[in-house]
This record gives sequence, structure tokens and C-alpha cells, in this order.
Amino acid sequence: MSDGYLYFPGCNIPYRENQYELSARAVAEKLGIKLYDKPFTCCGLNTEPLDEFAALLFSARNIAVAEEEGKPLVALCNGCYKTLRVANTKLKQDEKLREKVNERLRIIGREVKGTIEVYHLLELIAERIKPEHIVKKISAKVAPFAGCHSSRPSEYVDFGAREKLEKIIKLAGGKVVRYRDMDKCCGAPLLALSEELGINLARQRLLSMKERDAQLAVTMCPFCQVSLDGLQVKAEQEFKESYDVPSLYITQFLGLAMGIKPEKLGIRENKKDPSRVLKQVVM
Amino acid sequence: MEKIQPKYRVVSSDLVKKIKQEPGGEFISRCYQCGTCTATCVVNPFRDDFNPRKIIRMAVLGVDRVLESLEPWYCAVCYLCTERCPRDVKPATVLMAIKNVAAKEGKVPAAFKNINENIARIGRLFEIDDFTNFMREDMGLPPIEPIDEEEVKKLISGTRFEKIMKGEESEK
Ligand code: SF4
Ligand code: SF4
Repeated sequence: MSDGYLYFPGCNIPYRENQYELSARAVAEKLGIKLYDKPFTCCGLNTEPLDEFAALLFSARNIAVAEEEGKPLVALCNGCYKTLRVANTKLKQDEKLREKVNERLRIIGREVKGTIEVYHLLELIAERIKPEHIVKKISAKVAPFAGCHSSRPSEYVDFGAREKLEKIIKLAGGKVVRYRDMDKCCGAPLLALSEELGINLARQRLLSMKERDAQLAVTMCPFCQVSLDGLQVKAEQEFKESYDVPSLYITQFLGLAMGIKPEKLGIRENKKDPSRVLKQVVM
Repeated sequence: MEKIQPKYRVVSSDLVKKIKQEPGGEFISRCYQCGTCTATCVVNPFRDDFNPRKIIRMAVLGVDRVLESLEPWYCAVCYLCTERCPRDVKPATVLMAIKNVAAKEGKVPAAFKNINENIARIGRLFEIDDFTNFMREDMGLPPIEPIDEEEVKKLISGTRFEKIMKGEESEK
């Protein structure tokens, strides 16, 4: 399917993390990944705790739209990626479930047939990126943060997200930092119920990155980025500590290495200003 | 000699049945209480009361208090426990099933209901207004088109979700 992909924005990115989309589109374009747009609802993740079936209806509705276009879905958010991928797999495998869902989808004139795939953009980037795309070296110690829903539940999502981040870091000239609890939750899902809990989890990750002298973190999900970036600023004030690990989206990081201008990557939008360290390490 | 009083009243003998009927709750009875989930859990170190092993134990015993409690809602749904559980209970989704049962009986924490207000109406968590689209245009991004509200309404009509959001779901 060289015919391009349908970009799935989800709820968070267009509302408050537009720099992720901006940098993703810039990198995708350079790598020949064609992205198309359609109006999509929430992936379903937010409705799961209340009613799994209704959540599945939201996923299915979006999958049906992609099938109508004959294009695979590509997500930037781990939450959207996991939710759509789990739903898509279940709907393909379980005929009875598919029929139950389609009974409702027909009311809105749609249907899931099981004809498309769901990807995370990182998969597509990692497949296509080559040494010759790199025009600038980023010689920094970089902590990869893959988050949860890129890699778990592994029964459904398992494309080696962290390894892909590490590959890109190395290709760009960076040094991969391994740190304690690097595969654990960023804290963002807890913010709805308790900001204190969310900040505490984010702080744990930041402390362990700092422990290993990371100069930058890279993320692949708006939730993780909100934690490591926005909450970093908050936690530094609240705990009177300094972590000093500015976090970039992997597409911002790679974009810089590919010679894309910082303005075209929305670096300015990041809360924890990375410009000082970037001045030292981007060559 | 003092009589040992059970700490919790067992009120709902069919609690496990209800949980098993929800998608993801199927394997709750496999749990042999090893505690791997709690040892793995990212939330438990910060909140003692949030203990997946114990929540599952109470549910298996039919302790209805589990449905009233906020604890299942503190799960970050990070799936670490699901990866490590030696009995393949899938504790993260068992907790999800418990939340679904609680929601069905009208017990949804306000924060989770609030998150879903927009979703039930416009299909998304946040309303993308003209200002946001103007900012996106400024950055060179295409506008986010609204979803047909009728479509959202029809999609969820008659679901449990619709009833929960209308406040119609209550104990049966
Ligand atoms: S890890 Fe699995 S078997 Fe062990 S207590 Fe948790 S749910 Fe039960
Ligand atoms: S999914 Fe929930 S219970 Fe399991 S480890 Fe993560 S936060 Fe703890």
C-alpha cells in the first residue's frame, strides 16, 4: 500500500500538542510517507472504563471510515494506537463480535469488514529512515521513553517501539541512555483523578534519567510528552529540584537531524525549553 | 474468647459472574493471589490502598464494597501487571471489567464522567473551536473538521454508555 495513510489525530494532539503533528508531517513528507485527513472521533480509550462496548463502537466507527477510503490508519498517540489496534484485531478475529458491532454501525451507514491495518507512525519512520537522511549530528545522551501503549498489552501491540527509538537516536549521532524503570508509566493517565500521583510518577522517571546524566528525552506519545515536558516544569517548582532533561517528540528530534528548521518542528511550543542543550549538541 | 468478625460483609454472591460477563473480566477466577501484579504496579508505591491483588481477591469473595470504592479507578492501565501475571488473569482488564460493572450500576467517579461529556455529544474529548483551528492554520496544519453530532448520537443510542451519561443507569 504505497497509496498513503490516513492520519489519526486523536483528541489531545490537535488540542494542545500541535507541535507533534507539525514535526510528524514534516518528517513524513521528507520520507515519502503520504498522510491524508478525515474527521475522526475519539479512538474510544476514554470511554473504556465506563462501557467497553461503546468504546469499541468509537474505534470501529473510525476503522470503518479508513476502510471506506481504502487506507491504513496511522496514529501518533500511543493511546489511540493501542485502542485502534486492539479493536481492529478483535474485529478481524471475532466474527460474532464484528457482527454485533456492525449491527450498530449500519445505523450510521457504516460497516467494518476487516480490510485495513493500524500503525504507529514510528514504525513507518523506522522502516524508511536511512543514514543519508541525516544531515546534522545530535551528539547528546538521549533517554528514549516509549511509554506503555506502544508496547503493551504485547498480545496486541508489539513492534519494538523502544528499539525503534534507540535506532533513530543512534542514527542521529546520539548516545542511548538506559535508565531505571524506563518502561514504566509516565503518570499522565492518573492526572484525571490525582494530579499529585501523576506528578510523582513523572518525577520518578525524570530522576532516573537524570541519574544517568541524560541531556534529552525523546517521546512518541502526547501523554508521555505532557508528563515529561509540562509536568517537569511543575515538578521542578513543586519539589524544588532540577532534572534538566528537556523532552522532544521523536519527530522533532529526528527532524532536527534531518536538517528541518526548528520552526517547522514547533520546538518553541515545548514547555521545558530545550534550546540551551540543543545549541550545544546539534552540529 | 472474642469472636472473629469478618471485616467485610459478603453481599453479592454474583459479583464474580457480573465481572466475568464483561469483556476482559473472563479470567478473574484464575488468580492464585501471588501478588506479582501488586509488586509490579506503578501506582501501589504511592497509594497503599491501590492494590490490584487485593481488589481482585475482594471481588472474587463477592465483596460489593469493591464497586463503591474509588480504588479500581486509580489504575493507570499501563498493562505491566498483565505482562507479568503468571496465571494470565490480565489484571489490568479485570480492573477495567470491575469499573464497567460499577459504571453499569451508576457508580462512576465525577472525573471520569466529565471526561466523557464531550465525547458523548461531539465525539471528541475537546471541542476544537475556531481559535484552535486558526492557530493550526498559522502553523501550517489543516483544520480539524467537526463530527456530525447526529452520527455520534445514533452511534451510542441505546448503549449502556448513553444511559450512564444521562444518569439513567442505577442499581438493578
Ligand atoms: S499476578 Fe495474577 S495471579 Fe498473581 S495476584 Fe495478580 S492477578 Fe492474581
Ligand atoms: S495496569 Fe493498573 S494495576 Fe496493573 S500495574 Fe499498571 S497501574 Fe498497576
